[in-house]
Amino acid sequence: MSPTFENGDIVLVNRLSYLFEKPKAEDIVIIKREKYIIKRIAKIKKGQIFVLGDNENASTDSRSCGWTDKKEIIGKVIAKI
Amino acid sequence: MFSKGLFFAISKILPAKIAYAHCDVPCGIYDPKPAQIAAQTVLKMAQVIQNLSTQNPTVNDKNKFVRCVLTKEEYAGKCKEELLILWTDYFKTEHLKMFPNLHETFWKAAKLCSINKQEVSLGRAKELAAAVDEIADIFNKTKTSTSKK
Repeated sequence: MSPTFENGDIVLVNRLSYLFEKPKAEDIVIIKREKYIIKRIAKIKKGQIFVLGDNENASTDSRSCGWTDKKEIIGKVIAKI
Repeated sequence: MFSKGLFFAISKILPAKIAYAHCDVPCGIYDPKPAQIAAQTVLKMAQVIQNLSTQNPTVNDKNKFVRCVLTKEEYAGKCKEELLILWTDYFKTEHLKMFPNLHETFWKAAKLCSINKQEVSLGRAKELAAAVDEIADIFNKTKTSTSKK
């Protein structure tokens, strides 16, 4: 997620955000795969999101892993501390 | 807005979890070097095998021949594996715009890995080394274009 986030950055995540609003493009989210992953939402379709890393030439993201189920979203990143 | 002190106080009560930016391996460790080393090893083995004595070989000559063939086999396989990682994981659609022949280049290099397993040919081994060097050159150009952004 360079240059937005670098290794060791601490972020605050609102786990309740998407109870009150729908995910939208440009939101930065934590999704749960085998581990927690931080990515930016690029596109949304019914029940699924397409996420990208900000370091587009080097990121491993939905271009490799495909669409992600919205249910896998843990929360929305609301601040870098 | 949020002080680190407050955050750490809260995190003692509600421990924070680690989020990663990568689905599998960190992007920074993609490197064509292992493929280049493997291709050069295949070339070296082809040279050594062709220089082995075929007239009245000793047991040691036969042993060396088998070891060289095994090494050639192993490193041609490693070379293909490393190329496939770069091809399928590192390179993206954006890179195809910069290098329209990318798929063709990888496909030919991967085929050369197989050919070098099947044959002992200096010419084919040199072709493989050149093909992998070309891919390394493309890789380095994509890195340069990224750092310029």
